[in-house]
Amino acid sequence: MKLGGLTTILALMLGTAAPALAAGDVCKGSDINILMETVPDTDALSSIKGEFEKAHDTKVNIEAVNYSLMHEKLVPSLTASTSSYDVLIVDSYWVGEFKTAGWIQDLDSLIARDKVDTSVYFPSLMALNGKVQGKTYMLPFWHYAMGILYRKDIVEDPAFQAAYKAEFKRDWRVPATLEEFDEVVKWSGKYKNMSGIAMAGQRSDPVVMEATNYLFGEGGDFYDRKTWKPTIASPEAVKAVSIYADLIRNAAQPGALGANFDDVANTLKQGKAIFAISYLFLYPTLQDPKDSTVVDKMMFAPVPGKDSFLGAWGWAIPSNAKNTGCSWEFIKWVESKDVAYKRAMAGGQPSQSWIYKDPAFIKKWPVMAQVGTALDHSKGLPIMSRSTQLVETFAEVMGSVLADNVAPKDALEASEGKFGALVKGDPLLK
Amino acid sequence: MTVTTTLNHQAGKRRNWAQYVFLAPTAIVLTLVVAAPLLYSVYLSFQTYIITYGMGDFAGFGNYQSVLADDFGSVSWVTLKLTFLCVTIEFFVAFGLALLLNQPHLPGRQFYLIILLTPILMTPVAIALMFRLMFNPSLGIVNWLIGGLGIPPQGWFGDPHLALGTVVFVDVWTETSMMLLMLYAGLKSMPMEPVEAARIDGANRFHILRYVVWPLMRPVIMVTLLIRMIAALKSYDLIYMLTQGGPGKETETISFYAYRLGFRFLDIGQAAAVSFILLIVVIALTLFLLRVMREN
Repeated sequence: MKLGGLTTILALMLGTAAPALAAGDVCKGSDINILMETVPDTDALSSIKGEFEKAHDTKVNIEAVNYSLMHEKLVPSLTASTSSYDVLIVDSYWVGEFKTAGWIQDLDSLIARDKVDTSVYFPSLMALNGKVQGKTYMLPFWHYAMGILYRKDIVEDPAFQAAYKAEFKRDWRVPATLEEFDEVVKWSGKYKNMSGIAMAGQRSDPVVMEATNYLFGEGGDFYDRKTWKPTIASPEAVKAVSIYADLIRNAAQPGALGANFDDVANTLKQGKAIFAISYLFLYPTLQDPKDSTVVDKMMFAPVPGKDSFLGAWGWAIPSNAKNTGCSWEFIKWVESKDVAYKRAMAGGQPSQSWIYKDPAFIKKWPVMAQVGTALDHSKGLPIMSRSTQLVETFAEVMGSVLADNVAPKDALEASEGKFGALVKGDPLLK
Repeated sequence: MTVTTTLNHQAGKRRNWAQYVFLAPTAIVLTLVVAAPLLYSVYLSFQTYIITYGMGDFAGFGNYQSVLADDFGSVSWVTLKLTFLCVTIEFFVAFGLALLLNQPHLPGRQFYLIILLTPILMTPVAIALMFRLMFNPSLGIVNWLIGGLGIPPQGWFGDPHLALGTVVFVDVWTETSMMLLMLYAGLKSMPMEPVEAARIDGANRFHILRYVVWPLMRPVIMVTLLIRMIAALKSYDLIYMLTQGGPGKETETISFYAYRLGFRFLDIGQAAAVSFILLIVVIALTLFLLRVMREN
């Protein structure tokens, strides 16, 4: 009996120790290099990566760069015989491209082997940054839900609300349609003698991410997602681009055509604009008293109209990774519940839905209570092999409207051929 | 006689072989690092090659036709405007400064020279970041300064009417010092006897500049303009950092267009075609200027 008990204890000790030893072994001597964007989620991970380094006797090197540099740094690495990066974070609109080019590994066997629970993620994020054609290539890391960031201290001011009522013959409300948003932003900017809205019209990614909200908000899209015929010149798209152009010309901060989301954040932080349609992940920086004058003065609401644009990042392993076992070990760790929770509390945008039900999390980040609604009414760019080029093509359209004053209808109609060429022969759309 | 001739012939052969042996490493390295990539890029320009899909079929002149029908015209016009404005302004500023620095008995010459040459020591990325901040519509000192004069804040890099001019301003700040260095070196190495002779003959400063200094400096000026023009035609780094070719395509140069096709559209065939057209343009301009120099 005593011997039996001792054997059981030994077996239990070995049983619990074995996975740790295996995990330690798989990463020993291998550094993990990751290319990341300079955003709060990267800061949140940087602050806790030491735990993984200590547990697995390895080093995690995070190379944080501006978003615009990421794709061009990744592509040469992914086309080389061995990748410089051991773990990838994949933007939602690179997914199709990376899959078609064969740059990322199918994770299904690893998920099944280690019984990783993927039901913890928002289904919309799993569809956007998880599965492609039924196979799992990524685990969702963080989302960049977008919506209206607005100055609640201004719009809740009784004097503002009285003036609003006198102007629009109704009580104050967050705009429900884009036309209403357009009117309210222009009026409120004039009323407060400041920029009605902070906008990011810089080519390519900033203007496209922002304007896509207007497109989806009006119910438009780039393609009919069943036939893949371009719908970019639809009346909804023309209206959306017209409203966007109207706002950038008549209500945005000076230099909005050359601004990116950092500039939007800075404009808001200095208290120079009332509204923005931008990323929720900017919220923690707006709440930072060190360099923000609008702490506790901002609120978040869903994009007016039908849908908003949803983007997200997912963890993936490059097909040419040096040490797949170690890369997977890192992804498992970073997406484990306690690590995901720590990242969320540090200002990240969690992709696991259960975190949004945590009272401590909502207490710390009250605007996050709106995320569920935003995700329910949002959609991503189409998952196609050339979606990166779709962004470039739409940026060209927006540029010709905003900088060259081409009529939205003409610019959108002229681009239909280019949008059609992007889906021609795409294996993901068959 | 016959023996001597044979020996000379053999020695000549050995010398010939020795020349080839000594030249071989250079030739091999140049072939590998210059000729092979160049020929490969020419080959790629005739292929359908989108990285996502891999190498496709032979495209003939399809890539050239596509880029010429698409944006090549507009980006060429932007490149020409940028090159003309930058090279012209930089030349006059640099030549004027070089003449001032070349004044005899100028106090503090070394100090001025160090200050004026500072931009050469800075990387274009650092310069671009510095000017992005200075011209930032909300945070920048430039808008703050013009605000003091009652001028409303401007968008600078984001304003279609101001973006190219603002890029030219930054380029002038960055590149003038290189021109200054070359022109100042030319003035320093210029023989002074003709200048002194003209002065004794009663020529005023303008006449000395127009009829003595200018002709003597012409070869240096031509080389300086040639080098700067080729660099300006290939403008990429400042455009990338300052405007990304925007707003719209107001500041998109040929090199940035090639980059965009290659790294954003991942269309290597079209990017190679654009690069090759740019190479032909640069070679043609170089040959033209060299011919002008020879004729002068």
